[in-house]
Amino acid sequence: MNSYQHLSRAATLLAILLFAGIVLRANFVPASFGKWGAYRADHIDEERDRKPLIKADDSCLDCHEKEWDMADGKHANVPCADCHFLDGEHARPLEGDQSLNEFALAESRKNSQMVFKSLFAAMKEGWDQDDIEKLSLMLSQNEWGMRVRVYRGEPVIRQFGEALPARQAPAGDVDIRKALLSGEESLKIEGERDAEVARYLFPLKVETPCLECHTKARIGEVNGVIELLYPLNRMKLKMHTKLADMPVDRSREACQVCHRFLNSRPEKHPQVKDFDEHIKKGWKADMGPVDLGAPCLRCHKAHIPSIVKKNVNA
Amino acid sequence: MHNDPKNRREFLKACAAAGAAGVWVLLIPRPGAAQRVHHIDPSLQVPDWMDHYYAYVIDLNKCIGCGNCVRACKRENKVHEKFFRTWVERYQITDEDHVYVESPNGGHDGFSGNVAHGKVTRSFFVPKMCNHCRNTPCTQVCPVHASYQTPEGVILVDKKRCIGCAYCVQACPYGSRFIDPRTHTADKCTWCYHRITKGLLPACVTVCPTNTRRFGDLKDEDDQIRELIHNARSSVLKPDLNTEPFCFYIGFDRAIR
Ligand code: HEC
Ligand code: HEC
Ligand code: HEC
Ligand code: HEC
Ligand code: HEC
Repeated sequence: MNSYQHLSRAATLLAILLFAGIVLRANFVPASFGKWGAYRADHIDEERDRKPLIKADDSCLDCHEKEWDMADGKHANVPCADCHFLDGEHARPLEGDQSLNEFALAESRKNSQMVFKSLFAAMKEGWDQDDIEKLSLMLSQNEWGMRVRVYRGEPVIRQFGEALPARQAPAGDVDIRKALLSGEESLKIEGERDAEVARYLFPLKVETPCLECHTKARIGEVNGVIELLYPLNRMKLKMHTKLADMPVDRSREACQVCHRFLNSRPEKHPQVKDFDEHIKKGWKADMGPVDLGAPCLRCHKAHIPSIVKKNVNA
Repeated sequence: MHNDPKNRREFLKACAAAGAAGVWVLLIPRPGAAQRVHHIDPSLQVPDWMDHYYAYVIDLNKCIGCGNCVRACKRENKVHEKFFRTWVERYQITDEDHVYVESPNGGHDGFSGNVAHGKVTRSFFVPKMCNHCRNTPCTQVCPVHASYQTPEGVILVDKKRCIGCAYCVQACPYGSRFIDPRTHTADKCTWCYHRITKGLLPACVTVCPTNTRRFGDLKDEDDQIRELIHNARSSVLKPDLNTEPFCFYIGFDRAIR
């Protein structure tokens, strides 16, 4: 009698546990478990359904035939994604618009120097405002649609008088005022996508040689501002065309493509941000007088095998 | 004697323990029958996975340590910033055969400076990630079958099942797994399973500027990867462990661990 009670108790306990087990299993083991193997089959589908973010190159071809052709040449083997980091928001330059900004800035500086050289030559000839105006109109005739203007600053006005009405900066133009006061360059990109316009202001500061004629100016004051206005589309095109023709093996510019503007992150190689400084620092005594135009390959032979050689072979 | 209450208590305790164990056994999902299913029920919609078996090749002669792959992987898979599904190591070996290995931020930001002391005679980069072994120590130890191998040879982790016990992290001889602090579940490289099943390449392969990283299908007659694996002298990491990795290295160096 006593021992039966034993058994029935044990049996009840087992039944309860069995029931609990079945209930728990129903609730905790997913339905698709074991469909294909010892795992939840739905997971495979979930994993497969994830959306890819980074795109393969060929996918660009459909819509960017023009860029595809331009990216031919020596950089044909550099994947688009190498320079344009791609993600779900379509393509954008690796560091925001930094590459474009830096390129535009470098180009603008170069062009401003050119404009200033012409201006300086004109001043040497003793040209007056009318002549200078003609000069800027002439410089505005260029293949990149760049418009050039020069605005005079306080020291020039003091000595030579106000600018002609047509040559005065629009009233209320803060950027020009700021450049004239602070002497700091600025680059602004304005306008709609695909119709963006870059506006670059290049202040002309008074230095010792200026004082020869600008007798009423003081060193450090701002004599005037060169303004460059250009549609950005052409700049972008210029950049790709440049990439395509780049002799990757030799020229210094070829290296700069990646190492200044593109996927080399400038914060990573601070020492090569300014190439002149970089070369001066790296120059050894036994290499003769410093040559700032020296090709990068003069000192860097080791890097070339991998990435660049691939392009040279292509 | 048989009425001794102490003995009875022991007996009931043993019964309860056995019962609880039984519940546990019920709860552990029984290994289902992947192969069996195919034979038994042809009406099941079976993905095309029996037509593929993937492999990965890394040509160490080509890697320049740019970190594109690490960055791409991070973005593609939204990997936790402190952890890596793929990473790049730099080896520097001196003339006295001291081996220096570093992987600053997983190679995410590239490499700079020199960590070796002495004259470096060999220096190279070694990209690493899940080796997708055929004999997987990691999936074998998973107590809840959250980690498994697909028929194409890809090892996945089901985050909904994973309980974060980290047995697999310990079991992996290649350090390819980690516990994602956001989800407290195991995370690892999937060879971008969501990409390769759509005919795309893994993100790291897509962005590699030097073709260091190659990916392909061993069951595809025309895939170059077959030729590469069969014709080039390649090696795998830790072959002695008999894990049979499907990630092959060309240009191996004896210093690589
Ligand atoms: C379905 C068509 C389509 C495909 C495919 C495509 N693009 Fe675009 N892309 C566009 C259009 C349209 C624009 C114009 C601007 C916009 O709306 O983003 C554009 C703009 C761009 C820009 C300029 C973005 C900017 O900031 O000005 C870049 C760079 C670019 N695409 C790169 C790529 C790359 C690289 C690929 C291949 C991975 C690619 N695109 C694939 C349609 C496409
Ligand atoms: C070597 C680096 C490099 C490579 C490779 C490259 N690009 Fe570019 N691309 C640039 C730069 C630099 C710009 C201009 C500035 C910017 O948008 O960052 C640019 C601009 C563009 C633009 C915008 C042009 C416009 O008019 O708005 C598109 C679209 C584009 N690239 C597509 C591609 C595609 C498609 C490929 C692959 C075939 C490719 N790029 C390969 C560097 C590169
Ligand atoms: C050889 C003499 C000479 C030198 C040297 C010279 N300038 Fe001038 N500069 C002139 C003359 C002349 C004008 C025009 C005055 C006028 O007719 O309104 C002028 C005008 C300018 C203007 C105004 C242009 C305009 O469009 O209104 C700027 C800006 C300027 N100079 C900057 C400089 C700077 C900066 C330097 C030194 C780097 C410099 N100049 C050196 C003679 C010189
Ligand atoms: C197509 C792009 C590209 C071009 C062109 C290029 N590089 Fe590089 N370079 C890279 C990348 C990517 C790295 C990796 C480091 C990084 O991401 O900053 C790198 C790294 C380097 C390094 C550092 C190597 C190291 O081990 O740390 C040097 C030096 C270098 N490049 C020199 C050059 C020189 C010289 C040229 C011109 C002959 C050149 N590069 C052209 C992409 C390029
Ligand atoms: C006069 C010799 C010399 C020339 C010319 C030269 N470099 Fe360098 N470069 C060096 C030296 C030395 C180092 C290593 C020392 C350092 O890190 O500053 C270096 C380092 C670098 C690095 C790698 C920095 C890093 O973090 O590893 C890059 C990238 C680079 N140079 C790019 C260039 C490019 C692009 C050019 C051409 C515009 C160039 N170099 C021209 C001497 C030179």
